[in-house]
Amino acid sequence: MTEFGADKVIANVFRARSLELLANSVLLAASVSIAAVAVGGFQAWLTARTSIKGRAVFAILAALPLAMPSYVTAYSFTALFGGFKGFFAAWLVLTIGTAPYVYLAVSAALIRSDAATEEVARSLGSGRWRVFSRVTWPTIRPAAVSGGLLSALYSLSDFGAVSILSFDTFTRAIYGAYRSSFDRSGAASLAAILVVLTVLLLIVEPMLRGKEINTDARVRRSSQIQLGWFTPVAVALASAWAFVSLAIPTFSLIRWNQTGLSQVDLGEVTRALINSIGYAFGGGLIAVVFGFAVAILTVRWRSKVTVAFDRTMWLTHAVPGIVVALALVFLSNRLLPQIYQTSTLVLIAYLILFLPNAIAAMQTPISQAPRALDEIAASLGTSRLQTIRRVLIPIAGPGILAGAALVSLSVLKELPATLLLRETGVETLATRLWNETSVSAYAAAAPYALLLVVVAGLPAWLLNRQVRQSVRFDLNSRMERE
Amino acid sequence: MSTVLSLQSIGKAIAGYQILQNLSLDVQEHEFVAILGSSGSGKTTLLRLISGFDSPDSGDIQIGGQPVFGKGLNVSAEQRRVGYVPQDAALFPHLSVAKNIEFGLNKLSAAQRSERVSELLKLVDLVGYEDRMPDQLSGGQRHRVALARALAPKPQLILLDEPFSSLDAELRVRLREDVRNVIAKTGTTAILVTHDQEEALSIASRVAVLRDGGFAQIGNPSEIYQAPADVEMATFLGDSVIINGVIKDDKVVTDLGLLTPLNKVANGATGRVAIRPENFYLQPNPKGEGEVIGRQYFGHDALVEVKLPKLVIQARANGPFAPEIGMKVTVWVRGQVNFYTD
Repeated sequence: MTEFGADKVIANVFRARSLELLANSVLLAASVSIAAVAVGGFQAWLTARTSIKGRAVFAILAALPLAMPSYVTAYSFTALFGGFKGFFAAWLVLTIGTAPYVYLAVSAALIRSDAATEEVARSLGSGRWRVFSRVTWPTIRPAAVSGGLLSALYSLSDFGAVSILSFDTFTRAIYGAYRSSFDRSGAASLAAILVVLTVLLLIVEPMLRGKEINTDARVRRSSQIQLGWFTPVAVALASAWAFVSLAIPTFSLIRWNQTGLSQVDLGEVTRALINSIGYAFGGGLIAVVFGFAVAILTVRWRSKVTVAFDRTMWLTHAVPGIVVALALVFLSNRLLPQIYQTSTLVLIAYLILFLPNAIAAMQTPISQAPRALDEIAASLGTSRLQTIRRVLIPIAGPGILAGAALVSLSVLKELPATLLLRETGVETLATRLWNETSVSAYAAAAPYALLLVVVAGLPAWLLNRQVRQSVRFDLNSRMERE
Repeated sequence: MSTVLSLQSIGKAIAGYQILQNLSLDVQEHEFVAILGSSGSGKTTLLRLISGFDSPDSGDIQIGGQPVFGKGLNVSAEQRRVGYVPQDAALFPHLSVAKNIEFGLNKLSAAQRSERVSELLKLVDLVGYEDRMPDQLSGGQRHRVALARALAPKPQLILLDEPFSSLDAELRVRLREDVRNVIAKTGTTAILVTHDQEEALSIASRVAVLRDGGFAQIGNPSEIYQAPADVEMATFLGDSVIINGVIKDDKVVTDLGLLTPLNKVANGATGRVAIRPENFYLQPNPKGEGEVIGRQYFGHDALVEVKLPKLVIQARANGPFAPEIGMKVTVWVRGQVNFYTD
């Protein structure tokens, strides 16, 4: 620890610059999470509970922005509007990126909840507002609060969008400090504050979220609210948001690709695509191998140790990518200089960043394979390893594969860790987009943006489908059991 | 005959609740034992301890004369050779009927496997269903496949966890017969847990009633039904009319007159008498003391409520001959009664 000492870090932490960054980051995280809950919650309620025409269309429009990584959205806005920078820009772009998550979580909660309880409340003389606050809100509160928190974490750890939109938060400042100076204590101190902030959010979340309410799935019934005079207002609001969040970025992408595609260097694009796929495949593969092992442990052999492991995993998930990358730079410099700036280090970063996603993606299919089948296999004399091979993998296999694909695709669009750790000379789609955008070469960046949307669109579509199916699946499994 | 299963002072607590306490049971070869208990009495927990899916907190378990659980010993489920048929059949959804049945036969050659599978298919009357998938089977067929799968490796003991509870009444009775025949034919020792007393009494050669974490009574079905160990058992296993009585000259003096006790009693003892509704005989008699005040008609018989000067009783009467409401009757008690000293 000769490179920096504790006194230096403390001096850095309490500088005026840190306070400014803290104010910016907190302001952004808070405003994005409030806006995301408002937008996503409204969309969920509108599509799940009201009788407006075109609900199915609005449902798709609400989830569609998931297909665009937030740095691509940021790119598409700046490319179209020259002065699109600063707090408002970052707030808008991140709200566009996070509202769909809130929308999915809240609409799943709304679909799960029993509309008959609302009707009973109304028959007992409660007005609309009272029904919402006393009956509806308690059932969707955990989803809404978790969605809000997720949005805040997303805003804190986002690097690409805030950097492209020149709004100074911790992530952007960490990158700047890292690039501009050989003394990396500045970057490290900022990263330390950011981690503390993240952990604080994680601690506060369960208190805010409230208790999960178990609804009786068998009597689920939906009733539709007639909006009356509010219909045109609701349609206008939903359409306006769709215009801002989808039409503008899409228009920008198409416009810049008209020039971009004609002057593009196809070899360059192909190389970036191949590198991206290589990284995604490698990162996806190791995340899936480790994820499968951990998921089996946490689902099938639940003990205090595996539960603790499960929890800490989610802690690392909340740590911003740029912080993980920075930590790996320090560590590899100290311990294993030979892997610094090699693809090995990039893969290690991916493993840390995406292992929780891989585990989550695999826990669902594994836990859906009934435990009773394992026990039957054991009673027939089958060992545990054989049971995994003969029972678990055949049943959970398709789900596991889908999870693996999902993780690989999210690895593909990763920006900060790739940017910091990649081998010299290796460019991926994300880093090419970043390079071109940072020199305002919007036309040259356009093909990469387009490819990234295509690539990100697939996991977004899968996620959307998964949420919808899990609601239905839940119902099915209950109906069989009862 | 050798002892297939021996449980010695088993104790098990789950989440701070003592589910089973100091529980012991020996099961002999070829026996079919039903463990009868209300829901939450720990029946399923007990099965899971025997099969090895869970471990007791204390006690010893021997299977086929070999200790499988005890001091420092805990043989894993896959090495216990105990067949298991769960409540919902739990067939492997990705395997056909034949593949499900041969799942536990991986040590045999392919030829031996298919021979054993066709043997079992014949046994459970599912020849021709080899290639069906589990979702193409009816509820009863699924259970028969589950039974065949459990029997395939020729286990020394087979455990049935309320295997019929998810089926409708008619199918349940038929499948119960099938299962009993199949198990009898193979000569397998079996333990069935159930909350349905009719099921327990009709299927088993011995019934063990699980109550408050231990066996309240173990005996053959007629013993269990006709000589309940205490008043609680008498009301738990079917209906009983309970009336107070005092012993005088080897007879029980009750509001129903003098009754003959089944068990040995001391002069002057006070206690209660339990009488099954079918042990009453109602004689139509215009001068009788009893008056019929209620009548539930079931077809094959009827449950008749009779008001006597000092008490109301429920009696079972033959369907066609059950007295109508308002009729006067004389009440007789047939045979001997169980007397329980207070």
